[in-house]
Amino acid sequence: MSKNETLKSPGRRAFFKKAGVGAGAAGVVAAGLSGNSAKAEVKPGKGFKKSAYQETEHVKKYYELARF
Amino acid sequence: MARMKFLCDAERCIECNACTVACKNEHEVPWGITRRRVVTINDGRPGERSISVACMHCSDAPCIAVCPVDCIYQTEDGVVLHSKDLCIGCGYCFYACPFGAPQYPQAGNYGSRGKMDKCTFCNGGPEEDHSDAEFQKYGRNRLAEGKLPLCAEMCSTKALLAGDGEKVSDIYRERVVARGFGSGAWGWGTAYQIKGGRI
Repeated sequence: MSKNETLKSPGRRAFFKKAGVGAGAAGVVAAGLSGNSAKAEVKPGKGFKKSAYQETEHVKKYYELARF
Repeated sequence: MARMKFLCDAERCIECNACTVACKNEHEVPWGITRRRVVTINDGRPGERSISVACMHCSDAPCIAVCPVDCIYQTEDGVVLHSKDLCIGCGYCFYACPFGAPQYPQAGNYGSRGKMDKCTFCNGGPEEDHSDAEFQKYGRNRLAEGKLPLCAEMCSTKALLAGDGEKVSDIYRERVVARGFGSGAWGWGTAYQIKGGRI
């Protein structure tokens, strides 16, 4: 290994070290953002939609006709 | 409170497939998806029976239990609905469903199938009732209009029954008594059996 290469190495390592720290920080920020957006989404749960069934004349007629 | 249920009287189904067509037309179901299908067993042999099959809106729905994003839920009427906004198309619900109800617009592996589609008991989805978004994603909301699923309403032989579980089972019981036999309320044990104290 030449003297020049030995001198260059620390600089390159420092660069990748900084880049690694930066990418990690960006990942943490992105995770935080995605967590927030997931919370903002409306999640369906039990009873999310109220009862829709009504025993109207239409429905009563259906039950009557189905009895044949 | 009324509990919505489907019942197919296999003694009456004539395999006309009108329920399938009515559903496709009413909800403008996308190409490649058929929310309701008619299955014939013992085809061409003695004891041949046809059954109209779709999502049975199970009491203890296995699809709800396995969904990793909790996009499937049950309404107060017992109707099993899902949110296409949350669905990731993983296909777990398809593997869990004893009736093979969940379907996907594309063939593919995990996550590349598109949003799951299934029978909604003509009750739309989580969007506002009768909104354009609801119609585009899930189809018409007939239940909120004071009607019942179209497949059952237009069944010519009234083989397919839908509505309040109590009323539907009364109608079927009367038929069995009148004709002296019945082939059993197909799928009811699987769909509505009480498991772990939950109805």
